Amino acid sequence: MKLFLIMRLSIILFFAFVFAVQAESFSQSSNLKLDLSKTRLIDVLDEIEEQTDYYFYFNVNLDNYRVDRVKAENKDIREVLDLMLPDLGLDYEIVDRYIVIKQAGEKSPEHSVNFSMQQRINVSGKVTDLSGDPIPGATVTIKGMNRGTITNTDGSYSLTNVPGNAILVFSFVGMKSQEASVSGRTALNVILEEETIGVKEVVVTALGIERNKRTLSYATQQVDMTELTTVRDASLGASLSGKLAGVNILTSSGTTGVGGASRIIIRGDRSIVGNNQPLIVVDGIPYSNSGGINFSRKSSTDGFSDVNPDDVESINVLKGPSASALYGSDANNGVIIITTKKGKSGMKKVELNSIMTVDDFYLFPDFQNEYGQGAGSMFIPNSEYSWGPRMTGQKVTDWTGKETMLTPQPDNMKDFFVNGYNFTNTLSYTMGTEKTTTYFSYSNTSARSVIETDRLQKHNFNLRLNTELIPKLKLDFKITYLNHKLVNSPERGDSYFSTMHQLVRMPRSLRTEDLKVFEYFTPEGSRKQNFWNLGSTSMQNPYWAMYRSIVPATKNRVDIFSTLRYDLADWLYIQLRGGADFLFNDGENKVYWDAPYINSGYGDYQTQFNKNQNLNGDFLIGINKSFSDNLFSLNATLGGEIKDSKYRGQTSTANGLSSENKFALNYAKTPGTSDSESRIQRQSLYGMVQLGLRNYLFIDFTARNDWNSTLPSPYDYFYPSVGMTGIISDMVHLPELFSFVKVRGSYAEVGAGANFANIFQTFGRTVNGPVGYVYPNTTKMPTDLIPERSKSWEAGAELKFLDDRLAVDFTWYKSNTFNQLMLVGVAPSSGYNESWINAGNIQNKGVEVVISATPLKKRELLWKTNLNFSRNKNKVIKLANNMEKYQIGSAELSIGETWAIAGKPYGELYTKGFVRNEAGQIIVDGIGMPKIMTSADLYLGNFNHDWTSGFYNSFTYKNWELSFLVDLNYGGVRQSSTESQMLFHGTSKASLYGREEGLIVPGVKENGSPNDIVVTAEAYSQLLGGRAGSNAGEVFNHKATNSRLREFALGYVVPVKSRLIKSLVVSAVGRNLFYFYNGCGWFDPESTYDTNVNGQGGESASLPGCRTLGFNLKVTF
Amino acid sequence: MLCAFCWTLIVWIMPGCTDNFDEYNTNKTQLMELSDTDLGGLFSKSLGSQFENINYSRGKGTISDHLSGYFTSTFTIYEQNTINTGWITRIWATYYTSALPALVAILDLTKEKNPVAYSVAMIWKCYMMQRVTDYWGPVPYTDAASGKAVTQFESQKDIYYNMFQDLASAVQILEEKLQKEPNLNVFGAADMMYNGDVSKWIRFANTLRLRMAIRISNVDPDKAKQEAEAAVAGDLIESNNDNAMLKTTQITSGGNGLSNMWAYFQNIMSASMESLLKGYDDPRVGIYFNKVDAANIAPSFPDQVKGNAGGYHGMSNGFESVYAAFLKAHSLVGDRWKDDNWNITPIDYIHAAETCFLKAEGAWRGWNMGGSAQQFYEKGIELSLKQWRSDLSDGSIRNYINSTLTPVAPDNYPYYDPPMTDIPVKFSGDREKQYEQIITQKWISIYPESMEAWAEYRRTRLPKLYAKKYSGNGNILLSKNMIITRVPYPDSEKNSQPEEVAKAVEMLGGPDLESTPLWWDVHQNGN
Repeated sequence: MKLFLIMRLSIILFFAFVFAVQAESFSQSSNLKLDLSKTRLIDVLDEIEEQTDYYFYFNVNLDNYRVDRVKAENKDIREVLDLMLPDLGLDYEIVDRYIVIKQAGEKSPEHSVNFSMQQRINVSGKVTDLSGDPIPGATVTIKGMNRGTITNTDGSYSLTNVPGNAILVFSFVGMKSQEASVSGRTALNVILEEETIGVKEVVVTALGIERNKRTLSYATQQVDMTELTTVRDASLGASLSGKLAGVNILTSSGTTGVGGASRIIIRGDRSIVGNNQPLIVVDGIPYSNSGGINFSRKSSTDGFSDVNPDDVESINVLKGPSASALYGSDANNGVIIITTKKGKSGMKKVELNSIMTVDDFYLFPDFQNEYGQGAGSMFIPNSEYSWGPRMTGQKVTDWTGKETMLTPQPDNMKDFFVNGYNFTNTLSYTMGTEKTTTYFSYSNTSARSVIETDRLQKHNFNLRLNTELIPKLKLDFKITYLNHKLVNSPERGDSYFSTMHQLVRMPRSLRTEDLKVFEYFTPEGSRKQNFWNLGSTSMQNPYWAMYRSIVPATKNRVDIFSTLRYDLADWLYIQLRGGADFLFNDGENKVYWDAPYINSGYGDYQTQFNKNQNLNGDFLIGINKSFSDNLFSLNATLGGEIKDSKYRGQTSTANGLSSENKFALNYAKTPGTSDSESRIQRQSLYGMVQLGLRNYLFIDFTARNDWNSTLPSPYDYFYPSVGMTGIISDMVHLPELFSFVKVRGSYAEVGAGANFANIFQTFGRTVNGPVGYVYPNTTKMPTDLIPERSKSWEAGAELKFLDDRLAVDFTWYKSNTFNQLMLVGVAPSSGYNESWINAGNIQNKGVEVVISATPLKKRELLWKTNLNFSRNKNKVIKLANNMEKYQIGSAELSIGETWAIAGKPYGELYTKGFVRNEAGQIIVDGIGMPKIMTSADLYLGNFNHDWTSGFYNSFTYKNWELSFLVDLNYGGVRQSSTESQMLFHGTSKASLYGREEGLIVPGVKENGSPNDIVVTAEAYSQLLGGRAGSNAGEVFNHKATNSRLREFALGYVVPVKSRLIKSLVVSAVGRNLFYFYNGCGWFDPESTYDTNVNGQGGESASLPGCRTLGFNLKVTF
Repeated sequence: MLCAFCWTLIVWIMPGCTDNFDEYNTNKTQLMELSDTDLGGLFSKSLGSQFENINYSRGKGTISDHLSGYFTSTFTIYEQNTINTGWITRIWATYYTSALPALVAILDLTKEKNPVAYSVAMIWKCYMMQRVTDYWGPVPYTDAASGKAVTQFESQKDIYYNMFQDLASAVQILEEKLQKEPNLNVFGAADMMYNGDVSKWIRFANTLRLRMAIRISNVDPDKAKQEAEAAVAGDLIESNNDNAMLKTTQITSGGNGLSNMWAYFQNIMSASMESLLKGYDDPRVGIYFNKVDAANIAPSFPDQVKGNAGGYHGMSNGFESVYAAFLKAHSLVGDRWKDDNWNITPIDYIHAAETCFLKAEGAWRGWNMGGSAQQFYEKGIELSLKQWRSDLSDGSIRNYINSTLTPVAPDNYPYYDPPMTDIPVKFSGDREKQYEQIITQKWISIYPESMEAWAEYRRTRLPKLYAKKYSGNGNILLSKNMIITRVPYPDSEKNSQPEEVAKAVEMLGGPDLESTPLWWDVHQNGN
């Protein structure tokens, strides 16, 4: 209900706004006021367009038509036109709000003498796009005749007196023109496709410069937006999974619930300690991917998901440094370029897109349901283990004091969960005259994960204005506002408040109805946790963990940008652009009294505020000129930029509350506050020159010089790139089979600065003790930093066959990162934990293949398919002098240790394993237990996949469209901490081994004789399992290979005959429907519980695996 | 719209040069350099960054607290001799990257111009380093927290010899300065131990020197005698007013870490403590431990532990996991350390009683300590009783000293051990028994400083603690009477300077295991 109220309110607001802007012109729609003399007819018509809501179309070249004088006061448009046009030998026809200007002779088809021999019929129909939206204003002409019409607002047209064998040509800007033969039919509906494939494809490249894809010397890949707006994850990053070659996406929503962040890696990891994720650019302005509030072990969201997918026109991924050289160091890991929607001239459209999906949980770890609570085969009602007796219905006194039967409770964990949901409604409005366009949208999202308290509320507003201020000076302005509220995201991993961590360890005989009574009140009115082992510092009632540790977080984000572009000539422009990105985060962490582990049961309260301000200003001068009849062409851009980022944050902690559950710092037991602040400014000058020969051979150069405040004087570094493109199919005559052949190659260097204030040794100070504590920072700062540098090569080819029905895009790349700023661990005995050094050479080599095809294209049936494949081979060529290996930071309490080892790929995982003799037999110790390595010396594998692929298909038949995406990622390993904890606590199926009679570990004693010592399953499992670090990690290693039906959508374009509704599309959608294969069994290998660390591969307390099912409704008014 | 335009303009009007870059790159929330005014803050930091303040559970709770025999840890796997290598890295860092860097910063700042601050800092460095070397063995001492590319490990003998020298010279400098200025103060309030009173730091240094001398008495008796006699010639911690106790009242985070153990119910009375304290009818029992709270006893507990309510009851060290469920029916560490008191109860480092017991042992060894072993033994007991029970009458103290009561059999379900030993409090005529009495009473008086108690237990294998009931660690075989004798080196050090750690293991004279005895520990450990 509330949702609809908000929507209604927003609609009212929105119309009020638009009407306010447009009020004047609407009221005068047919009351013209003109006083012009000696002008071009075209200018008069422009003026009429300005004053009315009519639009002119003309099949006549009007350039030479001039009007001596036209004067009108409060005249109707027809009067004016009737007065003016006949003198010029012109006539007009009004179709709805469109006015077609034509030669006077064409006025009445009846008088036409051509084609008189043929039978004449009347033809009518409707022109729509692929998604079923009507296309108003499309031209429909009869081939060979100087006659035609324009579709009206609902996309329909009608032509009279058409020769029965005529061919109609349908065209619209940005769409592929289509011809259709009448063949005696009187109804002819046509679907126009957007001009996406084809040599004229325009892509947005670095700095927002639009370029013809055929001239690019590097690989880019575009995402089909219709997929993103029908089947969607709450995280935009997650929605891209499987769609892009060379792009790996790990999401955290599998462990941290709704709104979880994504970790996106393009073409492999480059940096050992630094950021490996790409730069995000929205409409030419870098967009902060900042995670917002970050309390320990609470998930953070990502900035990427702040973009409303419904506002996105296109997403283009620049994968290599060649593509991103102009963006500089920030783009070292590639760039995701997002172009958002603008209003379209000549149309007015209101669109409503509603997505309703439900998450159905179905994948759980394997639990045992045979042995109950207790230890040593004894029932112990306050035990945290399931090492008790076999459950046979025997009478016991349970933790609540009741006498009950000891029976399995197979669903005590499943009962905890609810179905997640995601409701997203977007209302967008676009309208435009020839010179001014407006786009407005409002979107709201209500989502919940499988945990009841884990909810997300999101509102996005977007307003875009494009106008020509004075002739040739164009303004492009946008403002977006986001309000994002997370009610409570669950704590992740192996932690006290992680509900999943409690649930997997909880004894198997506990009853849901007892657990649900998670608290009670003492006679004094004090709230107490109802728990089976009072005062435990390890576990708690999972319901209490869910309801009594609450972390609300709010994000407000405002982005503004404006661009002024002046066209000095048709080949020269100058552009000035400013962008501002303001991010405000505000979060709280409330822990209720009676969590013994937290401040001795006095609960806690923390607040965190931070604000990010990113300002960007740049100028560009662009030249685009051809000489000697297209023999040579020059495309050049010169520019400069200042980027300024400021951050300020404050965290306050209560360290316990003096008054029960009063969540304010006023009740802090010992308040503590800390501030953080940073500022980075970068100034840059850059240029790009492309020389073209006969429009089939291009050479590109780019150069950029940065001055970065994080470096010591003189602050600067320079980097160039060079590329070459040849369109073979235009150079030589190729067999018919090939419709397009292009080869490309490039080389780029990119430099990088340091982190904020990382070149000085500093000392910290905290409030503590009588005068405060002062201490040296434990990171040793170097005195002689030099900028980091990446050198990369890329070569590729684009081949199209059979009239573009089949296209293959192949890319090979190699990149090396040198002088990497690396934070290396130093001997702690030196007084420092780590030190920054310039070191390393990390290489990524790989191939990417994208195959797109249209295997079937019949009149009413269209099958399109797209296959992407990528393989990245990473190698750490060199670390530092005297350093062979370096430990990469991993998620807290993950089983695998991640290493960068010279000569091996990045991300090698090691753990503790059994000690084995030369024959590979496990060695047992004096008590019959397997010996476990004292350090993580056992190699497990690498967390990266060997190769990844995605296979997308779409079928369109009449009004139906079916699409699905299957992905297959091969290779790599993952380690499950959940399984380790379950084994320790005796809750997993694996813990059943040797339960009754004990077991003899298969192995040998230290003297080589076979082991014959019987040990209990409990002791054995508790040695192997438990917390990461003290367990035998090798037992919990899994292959990460997986393949799943990632997305599925079945859409139907509902044929509506209504003046109000122009089109209606209904789809059934699904995500992550099922696995064809999953090497990890019950958990998702593409999920992570910490997106912020470079060491991946760990699983810990994953939420149950879900499939998402739902509906999508798109209505255009 | 205006806003964005303005910004575009501002950007281009702004000085298009790099003049302000250094200012932008300055860290506003950090100090860029240190000055003399920061000495106090540095000293506070080095005092407040011990296991008693931070990492208590990792550094003491799961290591020395139960290995000393004071407590039984309810953290079962650690009680059963498991070593958590990840935690070792954390506790090593507590000293080397938290406490010591602040101290070394003082030494660097004051070496030339402030000998008083330098000497006090040096004394505190020796105290911390003794704890470090007595956990691990050979460790970096001279190079500790020096920032050098290679931090050299030194043998434990060299470290002790260096510390003897550093303490002697610090005391010499301070005594000279103190003669000229009797109220000499350094660091002022920032010194949470002695409020800047230099004379007390001299007492602390001499007592520490005596403690170190006694520690090496079995392995290097001549040096031990020489250092002990030199130490005793100076002022020592002789009265409870001189006790080295770190005030926690102004600490806002950290504080007395034992309070966390109270909150977590992690430290309960050991069976050994039960046998001794109950046997001697010791007046300290109610301070050291709590009576079993009936509210903690669930109806489902076996009858054997249900009766514990209202009494003092210890649990056996190394208890088998199945009995973990009934730990709540045992005595928790005393209310003095209850959770609310983390910033009230001071942290115990050295008590005056210990000085007496050290002297008693010296005298027992025949060194010149200025009195007899019995004299010091009885004085030590008296000081300890007065320290913990100021309400006791002289008569009852005398009764305790002359008591012939012996330890009792603890009521420790399900093990039911016999009495721990047969010695009474009253000083024995038997030389061996005298030694056991001195160490046993010292052990009781040092409580709760388990790091020192565990070191002394390893040196003397006294008091005659009950062996652990179960060991989950294949390196510590109970059948061979093995105990944990040291802490293995941290992975962080092994990974970053393996050559130095290899040299250290060579100096250690045994594998880098928890079963290898340290230099001053002359016992065979299971071999």
